Amino acid sequence: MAPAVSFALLPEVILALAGCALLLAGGERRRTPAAPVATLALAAVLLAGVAVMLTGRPEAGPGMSAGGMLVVDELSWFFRLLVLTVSALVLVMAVGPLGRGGGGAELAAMVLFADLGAFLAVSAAHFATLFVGLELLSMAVIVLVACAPGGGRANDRALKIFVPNAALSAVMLYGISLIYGAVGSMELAAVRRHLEVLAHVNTMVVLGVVLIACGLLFKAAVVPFHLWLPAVAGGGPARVSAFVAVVPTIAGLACLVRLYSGTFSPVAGQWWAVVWIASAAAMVFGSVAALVQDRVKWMLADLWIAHAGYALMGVVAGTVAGTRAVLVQAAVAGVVFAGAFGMVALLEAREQSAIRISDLRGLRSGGAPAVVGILIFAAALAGMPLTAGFVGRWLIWAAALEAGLVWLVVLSVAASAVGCACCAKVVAQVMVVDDRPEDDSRAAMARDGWTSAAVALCGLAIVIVGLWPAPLVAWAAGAIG
Amino acid sequence: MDTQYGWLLNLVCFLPLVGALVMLVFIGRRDVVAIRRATVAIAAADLALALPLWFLYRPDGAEFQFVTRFDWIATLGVQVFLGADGFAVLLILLTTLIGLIASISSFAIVGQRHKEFCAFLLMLQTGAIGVFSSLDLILLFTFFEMMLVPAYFLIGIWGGERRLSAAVKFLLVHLTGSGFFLIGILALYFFNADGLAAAGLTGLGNEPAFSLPQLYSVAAAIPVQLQLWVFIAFFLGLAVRIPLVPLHTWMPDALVEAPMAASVMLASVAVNVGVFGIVRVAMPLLPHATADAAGWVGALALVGIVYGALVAMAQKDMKRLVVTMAVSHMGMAVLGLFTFDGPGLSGAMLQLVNHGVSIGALLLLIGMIEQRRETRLVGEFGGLARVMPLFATFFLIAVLSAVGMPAFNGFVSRFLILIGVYRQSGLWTLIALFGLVIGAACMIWMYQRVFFGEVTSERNEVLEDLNRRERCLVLPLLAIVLWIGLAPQPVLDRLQPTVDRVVERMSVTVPQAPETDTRDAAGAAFDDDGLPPGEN
Repeated sequence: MAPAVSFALLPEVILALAGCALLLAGGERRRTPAAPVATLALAAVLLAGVAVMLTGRPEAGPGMSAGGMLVVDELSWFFRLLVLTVSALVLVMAVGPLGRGGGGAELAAMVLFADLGAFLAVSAAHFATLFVGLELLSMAVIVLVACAPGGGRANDRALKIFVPNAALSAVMLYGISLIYGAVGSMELAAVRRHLEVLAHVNTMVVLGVVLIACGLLFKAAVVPFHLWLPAVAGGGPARVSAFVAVVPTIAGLACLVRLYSGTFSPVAGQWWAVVWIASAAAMVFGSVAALVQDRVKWMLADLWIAHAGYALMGVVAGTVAGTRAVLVQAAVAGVVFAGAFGMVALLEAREQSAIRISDLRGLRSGGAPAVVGILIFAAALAGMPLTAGFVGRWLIWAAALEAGLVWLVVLSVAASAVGCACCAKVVAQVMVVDDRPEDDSRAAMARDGWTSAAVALCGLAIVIVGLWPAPLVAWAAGAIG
Repeated sequence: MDTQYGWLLNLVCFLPLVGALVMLVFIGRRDVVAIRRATVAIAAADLALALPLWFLYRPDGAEFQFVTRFDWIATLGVQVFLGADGFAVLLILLTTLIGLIASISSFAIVGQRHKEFCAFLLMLQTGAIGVFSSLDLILLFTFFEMMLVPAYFLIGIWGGERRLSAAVKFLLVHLTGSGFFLIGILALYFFNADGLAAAGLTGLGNEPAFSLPQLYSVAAAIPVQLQLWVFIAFFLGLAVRIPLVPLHTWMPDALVEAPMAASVMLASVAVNVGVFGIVRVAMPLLPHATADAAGWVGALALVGIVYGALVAMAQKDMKRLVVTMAVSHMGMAVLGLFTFDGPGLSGAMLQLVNHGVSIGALLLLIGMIEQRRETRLVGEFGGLARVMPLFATFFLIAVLSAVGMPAFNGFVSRFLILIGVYRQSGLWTLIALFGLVIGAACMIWMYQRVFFGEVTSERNEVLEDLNRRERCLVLPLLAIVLWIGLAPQPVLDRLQPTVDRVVERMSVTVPQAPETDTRDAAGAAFDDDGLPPGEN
């Protein structure tokens, strides 16, 4: 079995090598041309994807690699492919800007390192790899935020993740140590076995499980640990926001699914209420904050918080259908938000500062692509039928209802209606309001072929999945095993 | 299940949508003539295709005819499952007719962005026809939501002064309602399959399905407690659309703000999906809960009938007056439904058509006078009968239809409904009659002030009577008014199978009244505690 194990790490090795190569290529004073950087980064992502496809889906049940530190199972297969998809979309969007500002190689390298961290985290079989993966991911994202050109005060934003990240990582680490103290192991499978036979749940376990939840809820940007996301994704350049909003939070969700729908499910009674409240609070807060938000990127970030709340409902449900729904919701939201931020990137090209909803006024006359794009993304964010957004929402509600979470579903319906209202607000500016301001404050679609292509791809995927969700649902169902 | 001519129903349902998309892509924004021609051609073709459905439908045949069925999401049991019963065929025919009239009437009104306007009208038409012909709950929900998007734009883009707030209110109220509707659908789905273990509900263990005929077959097994919750969820979604007091507040705003063609579509067609949903989904699937709720819903409907008429009295704007009366008319339809009684049900279903025809004609006529005078205030007019005799005649027929004068269509449905209500409760009949009288008084008073007396304003002296296009728009509706008013039997024949099936499905809860004493049954079905006899 030895060769198989070494091949199982191939995707991670590809990402690490390509990341290092990019770092070496892009020295501080040298200006690297954009094309080779983008090509190398994209090639690494695609190769890693191929490697995941080839090695990552064991036919005969989960396999271990890296000496039992990583598990190669269907959940990790699904989330690694999802992370790579979003990364590829963001990299394609960034082909243009990478060439302009300089330092593009570092940014691309940080994307790859963040992916590597996410890979380790989503396929962790041991608390150590989980923690190392999440930290690598966070550090890479912090550097990415700090280095990203465009949009002033990048260091401020980086600090806004860095400080709470340090605090909550410590909290999570403390939780891990408590669990270790209680059951005497850091291997997830062993922890689960111990918890299953635990005669009575002691305080150490309860505290450990809840503290780990706090750390992961921070990564997934769920209320009350969400404050970093609007500040970071709202203020930064839209392409970076796309990555920062989607990839770390999806990795956080994946870890929540692995730990709380798997390892900690024997003690579900101890953490259930915490996740229930977090989910409800995220849905309500995210939707309401988005409704009163005037800046488009902040609004998207707030809506992401609401979407993380929807996804968490599947974890609260704790059933197979719930896990499947989390997966579908994560995939759908990942693509929808990547595309939506890309759309904002296109609209922001003319001006450096964040666009406001009122800047979209009369964009209709800017041509059909802008209107169709905004309509599709708004419909998907609102969860309208015939878009992918509906598929995610529907499966989540179905799973939660099946698990008897009626009040959480009712809350979620109300939050969803508020979210719809805020999408309607945007659409109204584009479609309804006619008096287009003549000054330069208005938004217009930039000519950026790569970004447009990536956004169009997302839009197409949203519509296709909306019309024909069967393959995605089957894929997610297969990913649970 | 009768799959013959399934393709025809598909064509009727999807032609407007496909036509709208083709038009959006292939016709230039400025080529208004081509846009008009294309829209009218699509709408006319749709009507021409829907007419054969009326004749091909066999009242003695299968419950659902013209069926198409294939898998959409096989793993979840979602199907594309279309079919129609007599009630649906009638509503589809009404929708296509109103659709054609609305698209022609949009010629004069819409100043700008004509292409989008026509496309949204056509999309709204597909949404409504889709709701009427869906036999799968998820598909039904999809069409349900699909109606909201064009309606939102039609109100929001082309509406009057306060269009944006009206559109947002419309959207928010409807979306919240539909969210609950979806939850109700999911609860039934799980009950039919594996159950909701966490809620302590064991399922039937069937194949997961959203198909209505399959769910009908298990309806008797649904426990009363679950029925009640699902009914509340469905009711929230459907009552918004009907609209029933107190969820009606979106309607006057939305319909008054909407431009003429859109308000005709919304008032004549879109509101029908609520009542239709009760007949198609709530009654057959949740007979016990529907019977339990009869007292409450009936009371709401009665409040709507009286309240709508009273509020209409206070209106100075003709359009707002007519739209407020619509709340009263829809209340009448709901009251008829919740009698669970042959005549009441027939009357309620017929009331939808009558309401659609009469309010459609009234809104068209008000739109025409608004174009001439740029006002709709009753006080601005007077003595129009002398200046515009043809207009006055048409308006009178529409008003008489709306108030339910004998020999006009409104009378037939109201009479049937009142028969149904009288069998249940004399007091309720009196209240309903009271509402009807106020409504009639208020409409006729409006007519008198606008059309009789001296011509008070100089600007009214020079108004032109209806031109040929306007006459052609209103005449078909007036023909239906008289046709249903004088010979309603062909329509009632087609409704009868649906009525019989509803009565049969509801009969598990409402005991058939003994021939000798109808009073007992009346008291029992509308008992104060809302429980039908023998239910505890």
